[in-house]
Amino acid sequence: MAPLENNYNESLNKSKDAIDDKTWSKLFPSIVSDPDRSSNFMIRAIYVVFSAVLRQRNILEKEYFSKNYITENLSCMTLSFKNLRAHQIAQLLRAAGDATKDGFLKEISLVVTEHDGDVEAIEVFSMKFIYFENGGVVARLSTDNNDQEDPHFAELAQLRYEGAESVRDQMVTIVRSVQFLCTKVLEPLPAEFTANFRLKYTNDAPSNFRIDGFDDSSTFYTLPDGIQSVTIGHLRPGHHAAHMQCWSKSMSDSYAAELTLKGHLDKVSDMYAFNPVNVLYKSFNSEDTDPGLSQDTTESANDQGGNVTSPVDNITDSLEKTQMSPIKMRPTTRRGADDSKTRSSPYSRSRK
Amino acid sequence: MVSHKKNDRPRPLWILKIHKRLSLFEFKRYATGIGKDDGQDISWVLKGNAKNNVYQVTVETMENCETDECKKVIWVPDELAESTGTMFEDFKEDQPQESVSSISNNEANWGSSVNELDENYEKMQKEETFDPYDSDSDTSEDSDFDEDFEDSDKTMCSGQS
Repeated sequence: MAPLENNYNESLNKSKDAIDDKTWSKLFPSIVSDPDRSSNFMIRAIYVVFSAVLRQRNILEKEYFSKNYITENLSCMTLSFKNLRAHQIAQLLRAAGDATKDGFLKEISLVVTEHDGDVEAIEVFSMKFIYFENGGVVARLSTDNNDQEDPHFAELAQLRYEGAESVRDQMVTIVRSVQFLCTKVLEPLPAEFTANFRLKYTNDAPSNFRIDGFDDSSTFYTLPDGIQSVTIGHLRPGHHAAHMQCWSKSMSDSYAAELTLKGHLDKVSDMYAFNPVNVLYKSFNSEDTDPGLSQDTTESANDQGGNVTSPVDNITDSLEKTQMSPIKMRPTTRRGADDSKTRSSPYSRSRK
Repeated sequence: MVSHKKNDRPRPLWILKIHKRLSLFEFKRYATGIGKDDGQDISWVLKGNAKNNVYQVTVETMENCETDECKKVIWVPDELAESTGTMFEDFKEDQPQESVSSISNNEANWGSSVNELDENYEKMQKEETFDPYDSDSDTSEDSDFDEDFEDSDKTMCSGQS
């Protein structure tokens, strides 16, 4: 990749900074540098990425989805308009994505718990956002304490917009990583679980700001001690940046997972002719920070007993009614698995 | 009725706004005008399972996302409109009184009997060649994605050095 620069690369000619890809343009804007299209890209990116998670993690059945192509060589299952429950969820994701237009959305997470209403998650897929002003150079960061503790936002602030083609490669990287992570790295989810989307707003959001379909909650989610995480990728169009990560009890070792993902991406980038993105893996650079408990005022898409059925409530209904099972993967024995019991930290490793 | 090749018609992603409601009976009176003369897409109603009402909505389509062409006015059955959740509830609260002239600029079938309306509607349903609910109207295929992970990937997943 091009070296990072402190200043916006004014040599990028916007009239030429477009993705010349008919397949891509059927779903995403070909220009992603200006504010409106940067926002439009983020809305659709949220829809596509979380559709991929819901499908590849087998949280929702195939009938909820339609197949679409991101590039000629990459297809993805996305929530289908003609499936009522899928449409409800897509509406929800769009509403959340709309909040990126004004810089109000800080995080959207798909939180999987053992039981409905649990605060502690067994798995989380999270996208975090920051916003750029003045031509996409200066990051507009929130100033609450959690930002100081969370290194992801500082890393996002360092990202530079490097042209539309780079954004397409970032999107390809994220989708491929989700597909591979969900089907080849993570162990299956338990036979019974619940899942819902949860949001956190930036400090720029008005105190009375709410997104349709979500209910208030004083707690975002918590992660159990020792849970492993993997960085999925990032997106950096003209005026936004997003970081995607997964925490899961179905993953035994962050380092192994990230190394496997990287190896897969390196291989398929050669096969399918896209430029590999320098993913901000954590285990390769430094120990992961425990995100701990978030006490910010947040909204979670839980039905609080009102008459209106939350779209996400239908995910729970679907699971409860159908008792969906995760993908039946071929059992594998991980060499060195016994050693994991003796590890003192996620990144210590014993060698025989 | 306009005939479209499969996959040529823009595919809705989500509903942006609900404009109008008609009872299914009223819709049958205006269907020819709305679909044929006004050029609004009524295939989701004709091929759907409307129970009592149908709704005129603006949807955002997958294609043409950089222009206003990605916003289309179509008609959908009640269940699809209801699936918008809060948007639907807000519409019900704010629903304006519909006037005849605001529905279609073309003449309604006022002189037709109920049976004639039903027969004409059934004819329209049969003549509409595009079924948006048909799985072939998407690019759905059996496999979720084209790539077949090779054995080496599986080995990487299962092993630790």
